[in-house]
Amino acid sequence: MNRDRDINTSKCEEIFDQLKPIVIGLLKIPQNPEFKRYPEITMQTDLIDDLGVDSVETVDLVVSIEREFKIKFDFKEAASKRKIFQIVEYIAQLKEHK
Amino acid sequence: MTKAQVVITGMGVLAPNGKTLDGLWNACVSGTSGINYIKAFDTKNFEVRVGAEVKDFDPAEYLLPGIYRKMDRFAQFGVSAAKLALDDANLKVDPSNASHIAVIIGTGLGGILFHEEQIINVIQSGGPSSAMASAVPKISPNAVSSYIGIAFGIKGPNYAISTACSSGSNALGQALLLLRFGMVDVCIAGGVEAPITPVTFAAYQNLKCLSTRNGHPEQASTPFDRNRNGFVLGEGAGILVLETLEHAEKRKARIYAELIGYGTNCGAYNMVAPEPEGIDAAQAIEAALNDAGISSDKVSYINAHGTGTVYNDLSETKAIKRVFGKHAYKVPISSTKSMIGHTIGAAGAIEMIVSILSIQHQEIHPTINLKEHDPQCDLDYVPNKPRKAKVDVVLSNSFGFGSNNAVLVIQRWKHEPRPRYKHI
Repeated sequence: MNRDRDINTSKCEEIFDQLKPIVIGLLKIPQNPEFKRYPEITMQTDLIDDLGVDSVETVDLVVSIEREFKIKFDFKEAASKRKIFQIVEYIAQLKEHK
Repeated sequence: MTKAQVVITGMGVLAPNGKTLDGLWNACVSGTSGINYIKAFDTKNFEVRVGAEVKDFDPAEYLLPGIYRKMDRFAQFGVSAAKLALDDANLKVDPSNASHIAVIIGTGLGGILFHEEQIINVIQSGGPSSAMASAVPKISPNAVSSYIGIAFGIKGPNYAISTACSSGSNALGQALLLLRFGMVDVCIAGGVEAPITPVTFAAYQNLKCLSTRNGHPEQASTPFDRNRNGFVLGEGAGILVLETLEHAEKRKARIYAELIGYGTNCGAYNMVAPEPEGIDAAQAIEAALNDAGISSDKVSYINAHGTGTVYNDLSETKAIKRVFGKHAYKVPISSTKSMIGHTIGAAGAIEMIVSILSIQHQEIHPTINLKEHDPQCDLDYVPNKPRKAKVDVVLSNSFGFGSNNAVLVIQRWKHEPRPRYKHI
């Protein structure tokens, strides 16, 4: 947790900006401004509570994030991350220790 | 053996010319077409550029993100229309009734939009690792029936039926059988399709069965007209709530109509062309009338399959003449597809909803764009103008690729038990 806090905030924001379109595209979240009621993707978005992500989609997310950031997830640990900021921090950690 | 009477108590529709029951009916009686230039993809290199799309469809208006996100467009249509139908029927699903409700949905093609995206992705992005795991549950035809189960907690028999253009009618017919013989109390049944996708649309185009009239999209579908040159591909969903009369009366449901007859067969003739004399189609119509226990002169309106292909319209006309004899010239016939195109697996279900609305309003919608009669199609197709009429019994035809025919008969609800049926 302490190590998480140490991670540079701007680096996390950069990762978030890169991650957001992946989440939107992969999970098919409508972005048409004429349509209302689609979930927003923020650091606080919960993959399960807000988006209803299931185990099959978790597999797709992990594969896409690994490809985009050129990192290798520990699948069990990755699957335990529910909030977007947790995933962002996990990506930052892995990138740092690459 | 006594059989249960089956009634229709709820309807939900997403059609190219209406996303509510009133919207659809008003569009149909006023002859408003839902056919337009295709917006879903760039048709620059296509010979056919018109289709019947459901306008401004946003699944988020009907469903939660955890449901609609995971589905292909075809299943989004189906689950959204199922919600509309359940709300319309005022049917609450809870643990006490969940196992006594079935879901049977017709779809000719399944989740082809996502399938095409995946194939293109694998080819362009380099290999099998780019295929998404979630493609497996998204592509399956039964994704739509399963997600209706998941979204509303419905736990009875659940399956998809795929018989091309007659899928929706066969789903309703199979629902009738399950209900008649007491397997379930309620059935959510209907049809869905979302075939306006780059590869599938191109295949239909190359099959030369689509209208090439790109100049005025609303005039592209011309069933029974001498100059007809093919159908217009459409998309949408029609979902109905069917239940036994006993169950409907117990919960004091509003009854739209009674589903009284179903006939289905296979002409064993050809995968894409109907038998030219309409022999197997006539047999399916006869089977439906026999099942309903009525003679052909009791039919007040026929909602035709009426695709607008040279082959269909002629063989359907011959089939009607075979069964109806002289009465064929008296019974009004109209084609909903003149306005909404051919929505493949959804067609029979949307047309069933239109037929029920016709009974409700005692009015028949026109076949639009019928300017010049084909001398061989010489029946009363209610050309271009709606008609007030006494509509008691409606016969709805669906004739699918693969010579698959499904015909349904509905009757205005009369509040009276019928012979051979369970009296309650």
